[in-house]
Amino acid sequence: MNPRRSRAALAGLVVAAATAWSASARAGDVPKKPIADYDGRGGPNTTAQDAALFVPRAVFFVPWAVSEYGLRRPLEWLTKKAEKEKWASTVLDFFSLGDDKNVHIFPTFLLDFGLLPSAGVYLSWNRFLHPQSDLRVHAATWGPRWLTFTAAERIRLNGDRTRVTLRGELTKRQDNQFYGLGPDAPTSNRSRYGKQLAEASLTFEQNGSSGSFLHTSVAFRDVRFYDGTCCGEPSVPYESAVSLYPRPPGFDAGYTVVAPRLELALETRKPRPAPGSGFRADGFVEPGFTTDGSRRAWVRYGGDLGVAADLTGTQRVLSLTVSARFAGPLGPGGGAVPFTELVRLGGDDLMVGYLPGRLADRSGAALTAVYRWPVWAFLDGTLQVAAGNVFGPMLEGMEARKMRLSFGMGIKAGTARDHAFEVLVAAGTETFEQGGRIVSGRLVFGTRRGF
Amino acid sequence: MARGARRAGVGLGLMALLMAACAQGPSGRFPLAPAMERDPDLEPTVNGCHKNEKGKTECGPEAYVSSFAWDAADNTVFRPLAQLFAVKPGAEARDVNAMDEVPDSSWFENRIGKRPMTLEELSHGPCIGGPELLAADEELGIVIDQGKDNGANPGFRVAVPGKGRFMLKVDTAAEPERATAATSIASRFYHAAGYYAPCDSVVYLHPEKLKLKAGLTITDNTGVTKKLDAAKLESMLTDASRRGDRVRFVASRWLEGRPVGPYTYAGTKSDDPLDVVPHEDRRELRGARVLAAWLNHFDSREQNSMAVWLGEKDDARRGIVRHYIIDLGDCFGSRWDWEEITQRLGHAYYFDSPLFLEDFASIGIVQRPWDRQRKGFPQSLFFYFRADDFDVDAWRGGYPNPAFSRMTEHDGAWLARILAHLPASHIAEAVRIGDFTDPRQTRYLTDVLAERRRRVLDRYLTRLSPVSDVTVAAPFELCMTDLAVSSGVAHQDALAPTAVLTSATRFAARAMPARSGPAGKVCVRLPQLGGAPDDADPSRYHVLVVSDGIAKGALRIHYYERASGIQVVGLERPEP
Repeated sequence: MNPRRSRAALAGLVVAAATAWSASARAGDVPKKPIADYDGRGGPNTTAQDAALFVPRAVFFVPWAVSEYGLRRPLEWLTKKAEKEKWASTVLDFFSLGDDKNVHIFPTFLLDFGLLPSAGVYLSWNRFLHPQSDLRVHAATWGPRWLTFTAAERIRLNGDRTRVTLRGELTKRQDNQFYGLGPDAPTSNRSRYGKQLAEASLTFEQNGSSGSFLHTSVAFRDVRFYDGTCCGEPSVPYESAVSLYPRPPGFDAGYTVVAPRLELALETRKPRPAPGSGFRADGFVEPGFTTDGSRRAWVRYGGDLGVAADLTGTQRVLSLTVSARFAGPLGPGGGAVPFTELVRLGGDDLMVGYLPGRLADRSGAALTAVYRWPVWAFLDGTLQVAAGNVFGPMLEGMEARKMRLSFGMGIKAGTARDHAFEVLVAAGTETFEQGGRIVSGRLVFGTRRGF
Repeated sequence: MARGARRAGVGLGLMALLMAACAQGPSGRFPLAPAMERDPDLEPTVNGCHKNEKGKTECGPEAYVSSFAWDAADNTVFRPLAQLFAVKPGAEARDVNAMDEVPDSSWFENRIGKRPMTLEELSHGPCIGGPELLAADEELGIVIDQGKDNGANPGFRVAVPGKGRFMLKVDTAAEPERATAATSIASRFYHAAGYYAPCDSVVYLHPEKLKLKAGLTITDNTGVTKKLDAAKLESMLTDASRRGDRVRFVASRWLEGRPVGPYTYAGTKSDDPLDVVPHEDRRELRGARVLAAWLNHFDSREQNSMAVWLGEKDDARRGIVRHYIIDLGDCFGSRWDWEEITQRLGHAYYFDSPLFLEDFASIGIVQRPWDRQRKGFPQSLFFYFRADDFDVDAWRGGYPNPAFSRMTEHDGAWLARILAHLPASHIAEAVRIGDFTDPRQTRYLTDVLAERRRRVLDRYLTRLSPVSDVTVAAPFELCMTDLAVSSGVAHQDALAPTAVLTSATRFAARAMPARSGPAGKVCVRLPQLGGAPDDADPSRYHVLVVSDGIAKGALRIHYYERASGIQVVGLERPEP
């Protein structure tokens, strides 16, 4: 059928549907009285402007017909039917369980371009087994190449100030990326590997009235790597075999580690609606001791120092944060630190313009400026720019020309820490020395697990 | 103002008026006939009979079931989208009579805008003509016979021997006394303005004297239905406001007639033959936006309206449908579970995509009223309901209302002219009906409403002409009232009336002397021009253009010079 005939047929179909619809809607009508001549002047006259409206109406006829009869009317029918038959109640009953609706289940999804998407289920069970205990479970997948299951049981003490959390995670995915180590690792090195993680941890949290806290934890982590790939890209074993980069440390044997962690944050800012000006300092230290007989030990530590100014006193907050991260063997016999335990920038933490783990080495530093402002009741806009990179031991080789730029803009939920919604468009550059061109782009849409 | 400067101002104003009078000319001749004061929709007509869902035969229109979710979704997203492609530009309201007013109809009855209202009449307001539930009535035996479905405030229906049925609602713990007071007060204002509103009054009752009928249920906004038994009743009343051992309720008298569901704010009801003017083009529904803004009735959606079929006693098939505005408990501030939403009520839709996009694109440079929200005073029951941040043009309900969205300057000014007739004493009297325990709440609400009203009037009585209440004072003299002055928006000294007479068959324009008097009074003596023997002859048709020197726009008074004197046949308030 030629395009002109197709358009004519479509228009005819729409007109017929519209006519049928209006005819059915009027079928049971009582004849209407005429509209009265309210001001005695015979009603409104047709003006040239009225006549001229024919042109835009003709132009927009098809979009109007589609929006009215292809979208609005069917949705009206569907919504009313759903409401009449109490589908919402059924759905709520399905997703909210328990006598006092304290168990909620809802779907999650996350799209982070460059990685496999994931869809899953989030469950929150408040007052699980005990009035002060909450259970959180998240399971997500994108087929056998992407599986994750996380469960956390929190016991709240002293209101919500003190919490003890027992957490377990099983993850298997093969869209992980590796580009080589060091500040200059080029984007063209991108390769994939499979990783299987099993982790259990126990955390004690003491939270202050603002954002200050003291967290201590101990985690048992078993990590195995395998020759997996995705997205039509070569695998790490292949690329290291062809000498694109050396085999990543720890890739072949994996590791099992016990890792105690201490994390401290001091925050002068008060929660909303108080103005967002203040200071924040935080730091962590996490040694790791293998229990798999390899007798390796390493330590990871780092910290951030930030200042934030609420420019108007109404949550238009500009913050500047300097961050440093370090990782290295513990003692002379510590051995090589597995590459996944090194400092890794990108993703949700520092340098958001890069995918998680894009930059990896023994240390890293970044200077980040973030501007955050409210755009709706529960959402903030974010604009951020950061300069930073990874380097050798103790920031060895850190120079201005080795820095990369990361910048992004997005929308983030101001609440719901356990399943925060986020939209982010971001980009990252190669080092200034390499020319500073944009080599990385990110588009994130979805909900993140926050536990 | 110096006398010279004032004279110069009057001279300039007169010159402008002459030019305007010459340039515009009459925009259509009004017939020699009284203006329509009664809408034909008040004439009962024969409607069909049908079987309802229970198989019972009933006459009049079928009940319309409003969809809670669809109304919000449609008006927020789908209707605006379809309307955009439909290319339906704004237009003036259809049900406006020759006097630039709305005739009495099944939607609206001219009250304070047309005649003075006593304090007693205002305080009884919608309750006139029927019983009110009083505390002493509990001795009659009050029986709970139905649960209340939907809505923010818990409640149930009761039957009172000899008095009829009432819906009883209580306050929530988070908002003691506010909602029960709000609906009692706001219903007085809506009624005084001319709308059909329910008889809502605060009453204190002993809960143990309420008898509960067995087998009742209650359904919340999410569609979850629960039993309304003694335990549920007790839990409903646990958080209610109390005075001593009595619980505070608002008693809403059951509306007379058979409910046929809410009315929509767009289109017409297909099975009501008298419902012919599209609702979005009814001035009273469009202008209700100004009243809603004044009171911050943000929940002004179709579900908070009700149509009832009033069939004739001797012929059930004949009748009319009367249209009520109900459920006004959201007025004067409201507290939601989410503070961020509470702060935005009246300033933004629940989800306001234009503001969302503006705020995102402007990276927060634009400051919003809710950014610096604060309570009127620490103990205020009205949360963020204030006067100093009130801008009637910027006001928004919970989500778009199709009639409000089509409101024109004329519609808003029409409602403002009605509000201008509401004295401060009447505002205080209506607030007194709320029966607040703390007198500070009464004082605060009275003051805020007075100031918000002043802002409404300042906005609408200074663009289009505020000159109103035109009367023939003498055979050839017209007198009128400047509502901007009489309501206190403008000072008497600012009143500098000028008048120009145009006559299509005699002369283009001629300045006429206009006198001002106290309380915004303006009078103009008219020349006796004579004409053809027929009173309706065009030679007897003239237009007097009156400007008050305050508003930018003028009033065009259309009249016929009859042998017995003049007869005003039309008023126009063209945009300046």
